[in-house]
Amino acid sequence: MEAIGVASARREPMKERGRVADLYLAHASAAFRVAYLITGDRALAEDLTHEAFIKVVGRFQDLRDRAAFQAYFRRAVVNLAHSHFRRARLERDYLRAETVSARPSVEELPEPRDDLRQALLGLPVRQRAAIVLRFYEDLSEYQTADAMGTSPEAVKALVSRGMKSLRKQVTYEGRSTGGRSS
Amino acid sequence: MRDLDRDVRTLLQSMAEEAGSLEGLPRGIWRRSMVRRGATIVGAAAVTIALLVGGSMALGSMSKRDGGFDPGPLPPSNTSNDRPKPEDMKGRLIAKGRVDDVDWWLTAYVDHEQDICSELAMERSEGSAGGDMSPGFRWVGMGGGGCGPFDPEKHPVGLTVTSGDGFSTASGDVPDHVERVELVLEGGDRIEAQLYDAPDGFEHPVRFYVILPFPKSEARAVVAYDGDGTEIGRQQIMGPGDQAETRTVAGPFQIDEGEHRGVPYTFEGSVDRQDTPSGDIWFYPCSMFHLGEGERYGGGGGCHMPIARNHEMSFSQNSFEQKPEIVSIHGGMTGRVDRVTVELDSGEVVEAEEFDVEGSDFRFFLAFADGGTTGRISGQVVGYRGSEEVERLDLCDPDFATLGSSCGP
Repeated sequence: MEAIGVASARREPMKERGRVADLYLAHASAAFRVAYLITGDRALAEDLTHEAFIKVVGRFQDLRDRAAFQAYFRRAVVNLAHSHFRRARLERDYLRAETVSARPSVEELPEPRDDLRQALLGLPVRQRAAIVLRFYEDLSEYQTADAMGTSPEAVKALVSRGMKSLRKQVTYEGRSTGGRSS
Repeated sequence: MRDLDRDVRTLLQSMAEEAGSLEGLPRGIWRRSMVRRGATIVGAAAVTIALLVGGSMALGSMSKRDGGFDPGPLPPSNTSNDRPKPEDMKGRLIAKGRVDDVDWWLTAYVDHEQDICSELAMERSEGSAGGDMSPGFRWVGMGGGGCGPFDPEKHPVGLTVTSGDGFSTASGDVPDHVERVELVLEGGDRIEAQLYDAPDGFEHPVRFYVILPFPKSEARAVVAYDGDGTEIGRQQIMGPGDQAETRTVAGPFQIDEGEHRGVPYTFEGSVDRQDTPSGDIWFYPCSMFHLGEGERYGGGGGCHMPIARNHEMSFSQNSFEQKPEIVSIHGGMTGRVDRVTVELDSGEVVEAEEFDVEGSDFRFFLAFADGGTTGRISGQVVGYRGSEEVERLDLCDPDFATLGSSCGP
């Protein structure tokens, strides 16, 4: 980890601006990629990343562990993505009721490259987030749970259900599930 | 690694590459972040003023957590106090001070589970010029906290370590007969901690210690001694490369699915491996139970680590708020156990169903007990080999195994 300090905004505004820019350069792209993997939508991922950055850097002075900026940033991205899809689902349900076509959901994103990609983007957002954090970010169950604001057991269940769903949806060789013997 | 795992990783990697990177700070971000910060500072000031007007002299309750801008549970830190702190609790001031133009506070409290929670908070002193080259600048903002059980016999030293750019801080609690606490550095050098008595009326007989910045790569342990110089206990400090690594080596398996009392359920398991800092390798089974279509009634489980530590079996117990009559007891066992029963205090004995799982040397079991209208059961889980009793474990304390909860030994 790397400790990060920020001087008083009133005393050294230019310096702090430089530090905010440094923080952005150091962490935004990684957070953006996580947002993209969860949302499957580049513009949306960029918006969520910017929003998350503003949220976290806005209270940077007050973070108990500033060295963990990336962890807070990642958590904000995951939370915002979750909130976005919850809102989008409500909006979509409403618009559907009004017989108006809503904004395409991730399930309806055009041109999936292959079955697995389509299946991944079709998973519930929390399962997708858990899989992204475990398989792309290589976080432990504990770290994933921290990023998602849930328990390691819940992460294990989310990943398990997500992978099971992927396996069901994608024609797969080497299928491997437990056998029951008694 | 199975094909699906590998393909998911490959897909995510290629999608990430396709996403690319973000360029420099976009216009407007700086201003928006400053607006948000301004609002936060105003909010914090309002809370502080309210405390002063209220006449409160409890400095502990003026810790940063009360500023109204708590960022949420702590990120992972190297700590033996490993449960994130409940955010609704208030700390009492144990000690405060200033080092290198940085003010620090140690606060503590006993939570509703009787665990001791403590937090070390730091911030740059008022009026400090500071700067990148000043010593304090490198560790301002470090600190942290956590909760851990009060158990002077088994775990006499509570420890929270947080690390920054080359430095760490440590704090925690020790039994009240401890007279000296030392940080042991690689090579044998020692740093004596500052030791503080608990405030009057503190619920547990403990003292607290603080060790302010030390080189993180060199710290090896915190050791507590009584007045005779006898070692009371020690807590190892893990370096970044020493952290126990856990990974799933088999599964997750769908062990069973079916219906109980007309309600569908799923039962899953896996085998985890943990490489401990001491070089030991532990394997243990994990089991998860969910009730209802789409898991609508909830469930849970856990990893049965006792099996890696000379136990032959371990279990999780689930009760369900909307289905109090159903209590599930499930877990894993070694090959030494071939039959599991749940012996309830009511006299009823329930035979568990046992499962072998391809790819796992551990076996799994699942049993159901009748929770009546309250979900409260008491009794024991018993493992047998033939007619020989191998292990007997108490079911969860019914006062803690409340409806909707999961628990284990």
